[in-house]
Amino acid sequence: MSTDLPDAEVVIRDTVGAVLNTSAAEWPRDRPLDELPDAIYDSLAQLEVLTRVERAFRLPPRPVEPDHLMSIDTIMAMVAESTAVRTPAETGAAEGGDG
Amino acid sequence: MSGTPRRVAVTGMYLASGLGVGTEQVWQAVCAGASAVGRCSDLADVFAARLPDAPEAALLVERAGLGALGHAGIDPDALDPHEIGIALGTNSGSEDLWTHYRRAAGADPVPARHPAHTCADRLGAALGGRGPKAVFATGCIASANAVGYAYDAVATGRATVMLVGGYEALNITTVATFASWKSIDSAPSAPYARSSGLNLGEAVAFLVLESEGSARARGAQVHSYVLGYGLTSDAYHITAPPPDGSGLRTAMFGALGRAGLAPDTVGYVNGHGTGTPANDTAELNAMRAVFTGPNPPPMSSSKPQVGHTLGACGALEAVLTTLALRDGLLPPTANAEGSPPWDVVPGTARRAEVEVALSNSIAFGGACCSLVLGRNGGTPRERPRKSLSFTGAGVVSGLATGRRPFLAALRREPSGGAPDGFRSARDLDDSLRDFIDPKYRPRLDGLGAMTVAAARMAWDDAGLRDGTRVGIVLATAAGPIGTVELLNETVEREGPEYISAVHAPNIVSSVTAGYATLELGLGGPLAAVSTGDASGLIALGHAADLIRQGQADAVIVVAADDVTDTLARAYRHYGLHGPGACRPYSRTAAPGPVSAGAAAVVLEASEHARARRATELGTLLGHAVSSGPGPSEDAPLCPESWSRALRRALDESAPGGAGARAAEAVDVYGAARGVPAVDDAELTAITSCLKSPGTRLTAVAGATGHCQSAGALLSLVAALDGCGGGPLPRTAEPSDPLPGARAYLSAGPAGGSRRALVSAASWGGTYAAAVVGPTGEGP
Repeated sequence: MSTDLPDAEVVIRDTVGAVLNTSAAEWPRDRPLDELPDAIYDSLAQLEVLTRVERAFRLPPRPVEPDHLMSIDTIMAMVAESTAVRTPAETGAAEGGDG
Repeated sequence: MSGTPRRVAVTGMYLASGLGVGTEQVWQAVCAGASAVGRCSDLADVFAARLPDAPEAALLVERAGLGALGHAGIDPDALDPHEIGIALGTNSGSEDLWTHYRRAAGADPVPARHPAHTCADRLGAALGGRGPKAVFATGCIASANAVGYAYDAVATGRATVMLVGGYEALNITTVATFASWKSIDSAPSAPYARSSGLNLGEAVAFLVLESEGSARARGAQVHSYVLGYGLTSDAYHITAPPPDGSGLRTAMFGALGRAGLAPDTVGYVNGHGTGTPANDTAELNAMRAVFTGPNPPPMSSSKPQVGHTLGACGALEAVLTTLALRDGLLPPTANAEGSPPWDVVPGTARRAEVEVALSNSIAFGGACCSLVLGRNGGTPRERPRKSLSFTGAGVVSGLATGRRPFLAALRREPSGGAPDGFRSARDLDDSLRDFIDPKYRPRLDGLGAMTVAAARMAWDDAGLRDGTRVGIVLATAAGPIGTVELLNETVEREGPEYISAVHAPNIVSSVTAGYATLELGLGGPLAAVSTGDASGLIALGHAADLIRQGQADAVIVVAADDVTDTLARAYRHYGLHGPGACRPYSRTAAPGPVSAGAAAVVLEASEHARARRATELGTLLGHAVSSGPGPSEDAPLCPESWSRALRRALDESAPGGAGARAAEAVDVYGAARGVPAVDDAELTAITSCLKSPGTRLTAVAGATGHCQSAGALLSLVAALDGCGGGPLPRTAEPSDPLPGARAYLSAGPAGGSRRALVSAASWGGTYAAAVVGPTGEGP
């Protein structure tokens, strides 16, 4: 899978939005998520995003590395780097970013 | 007016942990470097240390408390029961209540007449003690916080003996919360070395704190002395300390300063040492900042051996520190392979004669506590009896939000309870929005939202600007019961891996208070009291102690409680929640609704308030806490013990001493709420100590419904208005009042300002009272 796939990006944006209780649909891909207004993108939020992304893409658990969770771009790169990356549709995973 | 505190000796101890049951057995295993940490198949296969025998919490606490008392050689029957009290630290209370309430609210409810007690109440009844009683739920400093409270009670003469302990047991939900933060080490933990996570543990630990005079008089062995403590908050992050360890650094400096000691007198530090990178980094940096001399003291952590015992660790480690002082033996840090960045006593215990030691604890919410213990009693520093003023208040209730709207609503026609449809914090959400930073709102549960909003209102009302020396003491009867319910249901329905890392911290009351410190930028002490409905007034007394010993210039005392469906159903089962109006002091039951609510007051050193030209709402003149079970299951409260709390608070406030008390007319703001078991006991207590014909009686629950711990602080807000000349609240009067009530309820209007007595009680037999007066009164 390429991280350019729109499905993956949508899932990641939905996940970030659900965790932060705000919309990340239009947030620039390369802009740090901790600049989102009226939200706290701290280590707890990063943990939650990571857990949901792992679940959505059926990735093996991995440690929290803040650099990999900084922006939509870096999260997509992290997903792409992980082995056996598949979209939720391909895996049949029920979990989405709104979970 | 000033008072020289008494020296506080440790004369008894008890320990049970994964390493065994019995103080000496655990101590020997710790010194030998043994570990109880192993895989636990019933806890998702994580490494943890379990108690070998874990009966029900209250029974375990009773066994441990009586064990410590036996070790001290104290025969409770030989002491005045009012001179023996209890303080306990645990985070298990809210979950215990929820379990109890769920059973009561289920399809096949167990017979029960009253809500669950705290797990300290059984020990209190077994002991026969009638002194102060308090349960702290301040996360992982809970029992260190309790030691501080007990130290104050003995030092200031409110008790001669305090049994103080900590307790925690594990379940799958607790493990799931830590797993959600990826903070559990997949191997035995290695604090100050590998620092790759923690192992959880179970324990119960107790100490007997006793005035040195009492210990000497009965020829008791003194194992150590408590010399002081420091409580702080760091307002940095809800689950992680700042990397520079500034909160812990301030706690250590403060504790040592109040004990009259310099850092270079410290010969050993029992560290928090969880093994997480965030903790170990912060702790080591705090140590580097405090101990700058050529010979910094060794520091060790027993958590690789007994696990992180959460609310129990403060007491457990205070016992280990006492044993280190007693035996001249430093407990080790197991698994400290490699080259740790500090002398952490790697492997096994080491001989070292130490005169002064610290025991440090850190909690979620940014709370830190440092206890100072010594082989000798030192020279206690005088505690000036500072005048304390109320300078602000905030109210969250179904009746109204905000102090002034609440007071205005109390003057209107009484409703006898909350408006139709209102019950939980969710129903109040819209009215709280303006008082909470939008970025925190999604993170808060109902309890957190009410707490932060009430604290914000009180802060604004007081005109405070700088929170550096402002603390917070949260009081809550049911604790974060909404989050407890949410997390347990998530585990049951979806699985432990579905616990939310963002919302899981709300299961700890120190986090609830911690969000208020983040909202307001507070750096003073953080504590959480969870001792049933009397918690609000117990918290007020703790706040007064913290200000009088110089730990803060002001403290925001917040009492808050949410109502979940489970709690409401259980209260209905108990006959404590009904559809009609709440009619206090009624001969027949008329409980009205149980409702969510919160109230906050700013208690401030009068000198400080006047220096910043704050508007004072009134003065705290007297305060007391007592305990004692009722005579039977039908009468679970003890009027005599309740009366004792009222009398002691009135005596403390009487300008002419105790003799002047009976002659003075006061307004009484009672805890009555249309429940005869409560109302009758309170009325008996009041009539036994207030004889003046001018005494007037009211109960705010008649207007707000029953708001659990928030009720007493709602009363306090109304009482402060009354002291300033405001009218008594109009509450629903009973058509068939209890015998003797009518004379108090129908007492006519009183001209001008006067004193007020606020009263509260918890089902487990804990009673608290506060006397407030007009601005300018007091020492």
